[in-house]
Amino acid sequence: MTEPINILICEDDYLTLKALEHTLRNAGYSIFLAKDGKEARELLSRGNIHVLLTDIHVPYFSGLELIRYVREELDSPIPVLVLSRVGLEDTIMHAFELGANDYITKPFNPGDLLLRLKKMMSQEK
Amino acid sequence: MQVAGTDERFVLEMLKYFVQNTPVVLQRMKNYCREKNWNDLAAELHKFAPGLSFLGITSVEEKIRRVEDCVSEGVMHENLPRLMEEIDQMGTEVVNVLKEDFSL
Repeated sequence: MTEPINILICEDDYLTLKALEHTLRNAGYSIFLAKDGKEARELLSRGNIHVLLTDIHVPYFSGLELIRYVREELDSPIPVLVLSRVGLEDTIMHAFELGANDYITKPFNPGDLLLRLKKMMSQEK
Repeated sequence: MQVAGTDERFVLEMLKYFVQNTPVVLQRMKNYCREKNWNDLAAELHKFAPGLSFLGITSVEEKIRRVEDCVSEGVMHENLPRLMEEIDQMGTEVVNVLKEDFSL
């Protein structure tokens, strides 16, 4: 039996959060939810998260600060996928500079999201 | 709603949340606009728009983008009250239609 892949979703918009959870649970992933950066940091610090999926604009610690936390403080290589609305190209570039692996725009296409996740995880191996 | 596929229960859960939450959000946005609190208005709009997209309500989203443009460019917000009024009317109408069509 293979170990489940734990994905942490950090998103403060309820509809987006539930849509992401629904898509990823149906695809067989194990899901952890955080509605702000503080909750996300707490979950990340436990060390059992395999992928971080984060919005840029979340309360307390932004998505960018979470990426910095993962790469610098936790020194973790886990794949990070950034969620963003269209038109925030500069911010997405900054996310890549901080160590994000990929991004997806909202509203997301479920097939596209799953493909990007698979690609990121295969590159990690 | 592409995300939901054929899961009716999930669709209803999302619609119910939208119907319950949207009047509160619209009121908050009107307050921010009246108070000329552009930062909080922009943040509220930023959160509101993706939900509309998920539900396929693109007509309101277009107006939201126009308001966001006004706010981010820092140009005078003389059109804002009218745009906000239109967003409020459209949002309220969508909520009423959903309530009736889905008995929410």
